[in-house]
Amino acid sequence: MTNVLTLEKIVKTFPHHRRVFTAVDDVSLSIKEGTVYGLVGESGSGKSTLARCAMQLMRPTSGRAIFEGHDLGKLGPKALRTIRSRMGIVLQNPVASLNPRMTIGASVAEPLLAHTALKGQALQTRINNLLDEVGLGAGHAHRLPHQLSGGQCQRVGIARALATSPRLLILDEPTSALDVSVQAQILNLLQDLQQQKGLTYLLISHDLDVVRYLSDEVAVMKTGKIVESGPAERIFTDPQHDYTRRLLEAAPGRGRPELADSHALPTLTTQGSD
Amino acid sequence: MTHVLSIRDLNVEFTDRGKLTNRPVRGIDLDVSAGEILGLVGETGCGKSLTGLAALGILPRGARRTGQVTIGNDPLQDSSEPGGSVAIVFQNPGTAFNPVFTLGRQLSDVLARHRQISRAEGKAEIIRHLSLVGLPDPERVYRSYPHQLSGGMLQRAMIAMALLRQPRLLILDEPTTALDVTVARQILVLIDELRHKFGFGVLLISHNLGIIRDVCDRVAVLYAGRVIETGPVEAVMNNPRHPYTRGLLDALPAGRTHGQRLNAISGTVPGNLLSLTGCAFRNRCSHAVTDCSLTDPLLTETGPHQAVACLQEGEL
Repeated sequence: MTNVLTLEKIVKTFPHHRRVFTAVDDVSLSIKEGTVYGLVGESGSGKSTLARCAMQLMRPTSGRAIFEGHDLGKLGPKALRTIRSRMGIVLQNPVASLNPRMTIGASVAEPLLAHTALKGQALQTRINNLLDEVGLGAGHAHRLPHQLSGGQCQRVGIARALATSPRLLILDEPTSALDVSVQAQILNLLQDLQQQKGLTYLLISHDLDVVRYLSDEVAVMKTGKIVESGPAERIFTDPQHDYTRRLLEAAPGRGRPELADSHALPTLTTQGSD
Repeated sequence: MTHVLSIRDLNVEFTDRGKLTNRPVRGIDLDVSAGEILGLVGETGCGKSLTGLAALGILPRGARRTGQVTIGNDPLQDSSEPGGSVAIVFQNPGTAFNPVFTLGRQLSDVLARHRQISRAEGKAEIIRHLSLVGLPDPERVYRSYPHQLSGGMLQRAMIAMALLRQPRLLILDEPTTALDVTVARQILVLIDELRHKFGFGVLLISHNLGIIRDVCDRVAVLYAGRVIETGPVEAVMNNPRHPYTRGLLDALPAGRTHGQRLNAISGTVPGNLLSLTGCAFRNRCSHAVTDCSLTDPLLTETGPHQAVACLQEGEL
C-alpha cells in the first residue's frame, strides 16, 4: 500500500513572551492509502497544529509534508492550491464553521467554484448529489444553518470537504460537539464514505472510544511529541507508554474513580475541615 | 435519609406577551438525598439544564416555573433569590469568572454576601477553601486573574466558590465537558471526596453516560422534559428498560469494533412540546405501537427504586 501522506520531522514553533514555544516537536508519521490514522492527546498537545502543518494551512518551521509524492513545502501557491483540492478538512464546531447568512447550497458550492469549472445546471446537480451522499437530501440546499440541527450542520461540513473528491480527509474532532445519538449517525456516515470511496482519514480526537472505533493506526501526542504509535488494537489493549495508560484510565465509563485512581489528588489537604 | 432537594411536578413554561409558547420541562419529580449524587442525563434540548436552573430559581427571562421545589426544608419561593443552601457550578470555568477581577476578590464577594466576617478572616477562609479543593499554592491563586490559571484550576476555584456558601445541595451543570479527560477525572474524584466529607447532595447534569456511570449513585434519564427512566445507576446502565435509555447506551462506540455499524437513534428531540400527544419518543422508537400516539406513559415502578415510563415496557 502506498502512503498518501508522510510527515517527516515536522517542527512548528510560535513566539511566546519573547521566547519560543514549540507546539509540534519533531513529529514523523505516514498514513497508508485507505486507512484511518487516529491522533489522540489532550488540548495543547499539538494535534490540530500538526494537522494544519500537514495541509500547509500553516507552514511548519522545519520538516517536510509529503502528499501523494509531492513535497508541499516546495510547491508554489498555484500548485499548492491545485493539490489542496485533493485534501479536505472537517472541523469541530459544525454550526460555527458555516456562514450563517449563506444557504447550505451556497456553502457547498464554494469549494466547487474555487476548484472546479462547474457552473449552472452541472453545479446544481453536483451540489444535490453531495447533499444526498451525506444523507441530507437536495431539499436542504435552500435552508440556512440555523434551520438545521448540529448533526445536520456537520453533514454539510462533510459535504463541503468531499466536494472536490479528495483522497485525504482531516477530521478535527468531528463529533465532539454532538450528542451520542447524533455522534453515532455521523460516525456511521464517515465509515460508509471511507469504505465506498476508499478515502484516507487523519482523525483527531480526544475521545478514545471514537478513535478506537474508527482507526487502523493510532498515535498518542503529548506536549508536541508522539509518545507512542502503532496499530489501534495494540495501543488500546497493550499500551506501552505511561502517558497512554494514564489517558486510558482517565477516560469516562471505566469505573468509579475512587477505585481507579484515588491517588490522583496528592495536593488535597484535609486540614481544618468543617 | 433526608432529602436535600425535592422536586414535585416541576414545569417550566415560556411565554411571549402572555401567550404560552413552549413547555420544555413537563412534570418532573426528583429527590436528592444528603451525600448522594443524582445524575441527570439526556440529549441536548431535553430540559436538563432548565431543571437545574429551576431548582435554583434562576430561570432565563420569559420562563416561568410551576410546581414545588424544596431545598432542605425550605420551599423555593417564586422570584426569590436562591438561598445559601444551594450552589451551582457551570460548564465553562473560563467564562464563569469575571476576567477583570482577581479570584480572591470574586470569592470574597460571594463570602461577604453569605457571611458577616472580617476581611482578614474572610481571606483566611477563602484560602482554606482553595486548598480544600486541591489547588496548590492557594495564596497565589487568591491573587491571580482567571486567565492566569488553567481550565482545571479554574473549575476547582469554581467549586471552592460554591463551597463557601456551605451548600446542602450542589448543582453541577456539565462540570467537566470543557476539560481534558485526565483533568476531568480529577475534578470528578474531588467532587466524590467532597460530598463524602461535607455530606451535601449533588445534582450532576451531563450528556456523557460514562461520567454518569462513574460517579453517580442514582440516575434520572430525561427526554423531552420528562423523566422517562430512573433508578440506581448500575441497574439503569446494565439493565435499561426504556427504549431511549437503551438507544443512548447502544449508540456509544465503546466496545464496537471497526467496521461494525453503530446503532444511532434516528430523528431528533422534538423542539416544541406544547401540541404533543402520546409518548414524546414514539417517532424515534422502533417498539412504538398505536397506543403510544394516544397515551402519554406515566413513570411506573419496575423494580426496587427503578421506574420507567413506557407502555411497551413489559414487552421489551
